Amino acid sequence: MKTKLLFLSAILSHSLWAACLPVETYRLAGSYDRYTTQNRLRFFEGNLRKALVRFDDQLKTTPEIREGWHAYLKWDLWAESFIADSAWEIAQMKRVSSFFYDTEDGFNHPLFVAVRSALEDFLDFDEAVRPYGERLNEGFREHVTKLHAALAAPACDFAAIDAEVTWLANIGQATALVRAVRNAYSSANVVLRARKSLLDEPLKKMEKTQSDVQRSGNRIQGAWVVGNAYSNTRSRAEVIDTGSEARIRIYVEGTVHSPQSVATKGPATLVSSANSRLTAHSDVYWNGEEFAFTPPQATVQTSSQLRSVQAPPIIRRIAANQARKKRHLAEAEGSAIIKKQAIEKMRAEMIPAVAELNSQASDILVLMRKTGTFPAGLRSALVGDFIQIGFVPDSASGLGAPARAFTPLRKNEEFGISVHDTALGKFVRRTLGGARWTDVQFAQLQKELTGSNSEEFMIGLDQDRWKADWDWNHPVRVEFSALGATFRYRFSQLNLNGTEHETPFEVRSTFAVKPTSLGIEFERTSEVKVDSLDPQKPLSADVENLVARKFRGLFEDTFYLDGIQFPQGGDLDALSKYELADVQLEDHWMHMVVRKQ
Amino acid sequence: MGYIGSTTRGAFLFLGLFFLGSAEATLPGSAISRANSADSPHLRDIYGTTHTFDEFQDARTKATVIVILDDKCPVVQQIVPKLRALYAKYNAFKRDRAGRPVDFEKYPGDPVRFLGIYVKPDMGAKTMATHALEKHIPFRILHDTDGELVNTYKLSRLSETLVLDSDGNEVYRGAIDDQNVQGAMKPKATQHYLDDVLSHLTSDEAKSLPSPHTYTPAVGCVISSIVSRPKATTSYTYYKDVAPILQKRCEKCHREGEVGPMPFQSYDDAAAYAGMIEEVVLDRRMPPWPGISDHGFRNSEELTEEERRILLDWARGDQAAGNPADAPTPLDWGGPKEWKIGEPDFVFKMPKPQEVPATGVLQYVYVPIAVNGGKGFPEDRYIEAIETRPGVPEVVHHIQIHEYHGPVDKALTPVDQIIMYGLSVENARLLGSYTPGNAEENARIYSRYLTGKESGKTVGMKMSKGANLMLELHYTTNGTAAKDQSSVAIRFAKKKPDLVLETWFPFRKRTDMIIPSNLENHSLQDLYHFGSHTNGKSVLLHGARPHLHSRGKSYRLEIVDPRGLSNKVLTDFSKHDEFRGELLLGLPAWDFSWQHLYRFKEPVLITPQQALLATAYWDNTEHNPRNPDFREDVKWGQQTEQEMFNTLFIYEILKESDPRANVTDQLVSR
Repeated sequence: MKTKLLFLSAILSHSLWAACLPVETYRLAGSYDRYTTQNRLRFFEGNLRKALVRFDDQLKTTPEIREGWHAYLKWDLWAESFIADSAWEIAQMKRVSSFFYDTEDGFNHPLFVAVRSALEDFLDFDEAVRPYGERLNEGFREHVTKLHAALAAPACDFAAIDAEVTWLANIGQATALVRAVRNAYSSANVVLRARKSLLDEPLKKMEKTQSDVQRSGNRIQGAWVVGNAYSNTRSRAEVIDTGSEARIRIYVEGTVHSPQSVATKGPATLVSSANSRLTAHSDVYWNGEEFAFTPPQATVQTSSQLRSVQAPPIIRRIAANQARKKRHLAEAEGSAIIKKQAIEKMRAEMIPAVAELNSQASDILVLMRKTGTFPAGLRSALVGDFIQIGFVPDSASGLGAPARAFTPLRKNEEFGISVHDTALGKFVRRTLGGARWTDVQFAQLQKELTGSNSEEFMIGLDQDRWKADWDWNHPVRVEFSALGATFRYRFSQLNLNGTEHETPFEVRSTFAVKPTSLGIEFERTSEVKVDSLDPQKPLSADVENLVARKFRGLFEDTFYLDGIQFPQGGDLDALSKYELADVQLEDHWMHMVVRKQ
Repeated sequence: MGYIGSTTRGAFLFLGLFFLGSAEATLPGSAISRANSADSPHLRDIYGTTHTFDEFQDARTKATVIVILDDKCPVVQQIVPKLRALYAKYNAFKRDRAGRPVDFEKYPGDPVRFLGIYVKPDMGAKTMATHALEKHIPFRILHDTDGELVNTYKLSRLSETLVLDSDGNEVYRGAIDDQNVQGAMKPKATQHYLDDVLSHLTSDEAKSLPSPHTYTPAVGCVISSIVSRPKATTSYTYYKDVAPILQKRCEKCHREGEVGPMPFQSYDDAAAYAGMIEEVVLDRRMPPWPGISDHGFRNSEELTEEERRILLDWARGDQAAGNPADAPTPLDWGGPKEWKIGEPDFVFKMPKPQEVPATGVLQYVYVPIAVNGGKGFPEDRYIEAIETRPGVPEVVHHIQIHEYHGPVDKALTPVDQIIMYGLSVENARLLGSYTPGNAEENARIYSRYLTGKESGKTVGMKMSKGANLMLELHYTTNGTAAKDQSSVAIRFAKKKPDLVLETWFPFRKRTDMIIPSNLENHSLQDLYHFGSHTNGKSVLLHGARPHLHSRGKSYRLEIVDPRGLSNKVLTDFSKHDEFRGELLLGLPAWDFSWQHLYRFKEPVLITPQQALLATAYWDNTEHNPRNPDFREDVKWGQQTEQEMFNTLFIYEILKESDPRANVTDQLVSR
């Protein structure tokens, strides 16, 4: 009966879907396929087991570090039993999952990354399936209905859409529906905009002029042509938009002048001069993994003049006529030779230049890979006089934001950063999901963000000690509206003074966000609310009180992000020239603009 | 008759003066016009710099209040809180959260300038500054070393107040109110002379000054009885009495080849600088030990009172040489190349020299140093002693040695930097450092941290398994290009020591720091809670090293109960002058040149119920002799002309078995 009602509500809401998703989605859900579920379970389990064994085999080759890795990953608490296919504890595996994301050496080793991906897939699947057991088909309908309802909501409930797509994607069902929603929300949810002129200086550095003299010897029109070729080239770079993305286009322009080329064929020797105009370019672009360049393209136009013909008198005129007649063919051949050489030379120069660019970017890219924040999608465009780079963080739902245009930066603004509701939670999902945080970690977080600890996070000041398990799928959510930013933190359980309380709960509070000359001011505009996420299990009063008190202290009534500071000196000091000029909130988006001080 | 009688006498005196008609012609000091520049009295500040009184008067100041202070006189101690309140009342302005005046772009300076004048000849700069710090006197204090101001204005009593208008004309002199009378004190004041006068002078409306307000006698001690300079009376000689003190206290720096500007290793050296010796000993500027603490110091460089008396007496007297046979045996200081920590196990040198140009402002330089071929040691090791030595001390502002787990075969990138320090820059493990003039910290020998009770124990600081070293170097140019190749020497313990020390360097950029130009007493506070750093454990604090830059004025570190000390409370600038706990470390007159690591006589127990509250003050006026530019608002920054505010701690986590680890009743009353 319940199922029927759910379907009925789905059908009734069908007519409203167009508000958020302009496609017919109900039909796309299809029906539940239990074989898919069984196959996925077998696949994820086997895949994780294989990955663990391979990783451990690799560790066995370096016994001196194996013990350290085992201790760090609490191997004996879950991995050994999992490999042996005996009982294992899912909660322990979830707590360990976040250990796979860190900045240290080894965290991007392919075998290590394989374990963490397999573990995440396995746990994602388990998280989706476990609550329903044998009734997974009901769960499927329930989630499809909820997704439809969220899509039909006039204000587009992105959090709900994201949650339902995450669930369906994790169990590998309703793939067409998931794909359709992903297509509708495939735009970047973190958008950086930088004034194009900021690149003027580094691009200027890439400019260079080269002069060269080459003794050439080529076979053109069947004759050996020798002579000196004087080339003058100038390379420059600029940001272009190809229509689908922004690229850095490197141009090489120049001339090749051969004042005296001597062609000898049989008894005839022809002396000529030639001028060639060369234009070549290659684009540097992001291929999703690293910077790459397009094969250089070149055009060459050559014009030549016959200077003299040396041949026995009887054939001199013939030779001269022949030469004149075939001049354009010779010019084309000459152009082709120059073009080929130019392309080869440009390729030879682009390889180290792009390698250098990748080397410069590698630190940050490796860091993103190690910490699981490497973007699933990265798009660029040249919009007016600013470069726009959009990120879609990697996540199980695979959702970005709906497409939109951004207000152009104003005259004195150098950078803009726009963040969609769905982005922040996804950036921290892998490092938080399932992790058990102690009060000390919350205290550290508070200090990292705000620069100091409030009374509630002075560890040991009162007798209560606690730890909490972050929710696996959606540990943190931030929702923006014109009135402020609402932060939601979800936990699956709490340990207070050694006693486990297994009721999942959510803590939320809303802050008005205001730019000041001394950073962004957050002012709480709502009470801290603590709610059980399980209607059957209310939170005990002592847990609710403690959580409310601690989270009131985590972000005090008014706070600033004074703790987010880059270390002094070095390259990072360049950032100190910039200051936050404005913060604007609107439904689902926060926009920040930065100007030069 | 007690206090009623005194009051009555006072009232008759006022009445009498009033009926004298043109009282100003007969008032003490009233005939004195403002001294001209050439005759302007000389006054010495807490840094030992001499100013003329004229420097403190300018058109933007509506009134100048001179008040005679003293560290002992009870009347002075009674009026200090009232002076503080008046200073706040007449110099109040609304601040933003960085402490900047919100109503005007550039702070023009205090509308009413208060000058606290100390007159006791043997007061000395440090004693004067200590009094100001302990009594939280927010305004400028100066020493009338030779009684010139007192004589010029014919001031006669401690606690006496003299008010000058913006033209330098005397408007009022006497007591600040009528609460204190000779020999007694009323429950509260009924007449507020100084407040009335200042209200009159600062009012935009023409208000007549209520009478009697021209002369109300102050009741502190008579100045003439305390200002006579003590005369040398004894027969101390250089060889017998002075040389042993110089050898013990001064020779460490004042010898050939060391940093002291002149050697003190012969009679001629000492006699030539006898005047200077008198001044710096009197001011307690030398040996340099700016710190004060209720807990005392183990590594104090201060002279004992006996040593001070001998040096002052000898310098003020005939500077007799005495019998060379009485001279102490010369000390063997070792060669300049020798490590002060003894024979090190490892010496790590910068792989290549760092070019330091002749001019310009330089960013910090980070130089990774490979340990054990870049792999670090295969196990945790414990540092017994560490010495950091600059290659070219003239250009090295500081060096910090951090534990480093990043790649050593390439230059430090921003990402490496963030990983090493963390976002709030607290991740770094500081193993050693070099700052000029900090001999003990530059050659840190941990056995010195053991107290008598712990003799026989071993002590050290952990260097983690696999760690390399990162040198953070800050160079300052000095007009000559140089190539620096600094080094660090380490001696390791043979096994894990009994006592393991830790450093905590809660170091963060203070974006909320903006020290307004012209502001004399800008302050900032920071709260350090060890419990949050040690997972709720109690610690024994061995030492602390505060750090400010050139505009620093004073600093104090208190043990407090952190309850109620939210960020909001700490940004209430009007409350910064209040003590909230027990003074652990004070630097009454901050001196950038002497940045000691102050070690406490006994390690101080800090429980999780306690926190340390640091308060720093800056003087961003033209009257701070070390101020590079008083016209600029100053922000946090690494360069010396910017400002910093942090404190390094060396501590030991108490073992669970230690009974002190469970002490929770150490709350400090508030």
